[in-house]
Amino acid sequence: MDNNVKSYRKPYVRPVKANWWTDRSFYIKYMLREGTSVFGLIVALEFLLFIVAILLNPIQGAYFITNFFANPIVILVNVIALISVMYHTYTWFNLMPLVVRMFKSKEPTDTKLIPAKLMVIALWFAWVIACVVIGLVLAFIR
Amino acid sequence: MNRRSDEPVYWGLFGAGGMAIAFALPALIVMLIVCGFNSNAMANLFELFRHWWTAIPLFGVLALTTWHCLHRIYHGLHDLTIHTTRLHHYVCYGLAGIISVVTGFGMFLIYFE
Repeated sequence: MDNNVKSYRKPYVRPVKANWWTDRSFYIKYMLREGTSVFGLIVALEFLLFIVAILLNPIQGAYFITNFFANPIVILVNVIALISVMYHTYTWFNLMPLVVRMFKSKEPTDTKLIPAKLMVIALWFAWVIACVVIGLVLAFIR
Repeated sequence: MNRRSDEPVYWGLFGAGGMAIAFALPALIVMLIVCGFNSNAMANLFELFRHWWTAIPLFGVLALTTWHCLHRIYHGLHDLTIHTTRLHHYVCYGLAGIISVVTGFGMFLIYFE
């Protein structure tokens, strides 16, 4: 990769504006999908805040964190985070058939893939089970 | 000399994190919203840290979420016409490392308190 020969090329690099993605719905959806990561990070930081507050002072920390999550702005952010994480889930499951190639049969000569739709439906089915399990754990944990 | 790229490690964490977010995070965010309206739910959320069989998966989800999101933000910088350098790389993945280590250490302390 590195070479020490001085290059006299002056390639033209077309300038790109930061709002290049705003004039096509395909690009807007792409940027929204990438943007969901910001809210994922916010949720991880909320849990970190919870942990740090409890560790610093179990009683005052619990009081602080209860007020924090009851704050309307935090609730609004959480609702937006929920919507964006659901969008992430939707796009992620739709991507899976492109990423994972599952063959119908184990015969090396038979290269037919399982239908993409089937994989997406199976993922959503597993997702419902995961949500029910997490919900039950959260409801009955003591 | 060409060094081998470290990208597969981050991409692996990104992939695992994408799955973790898709499956676990919606339910956890619903719980956070419920906690905003009902402070009794906060006790249930706290119980997640006090059992090893919930604390370990929860740590996995939180750490993978952090790595996934910061990987995506790091590569998204290019789309926002920010030319990434080695510094951006260290800031993003360093932040992911710090957040996941502090989360894990904090959960460890809460569990053994």
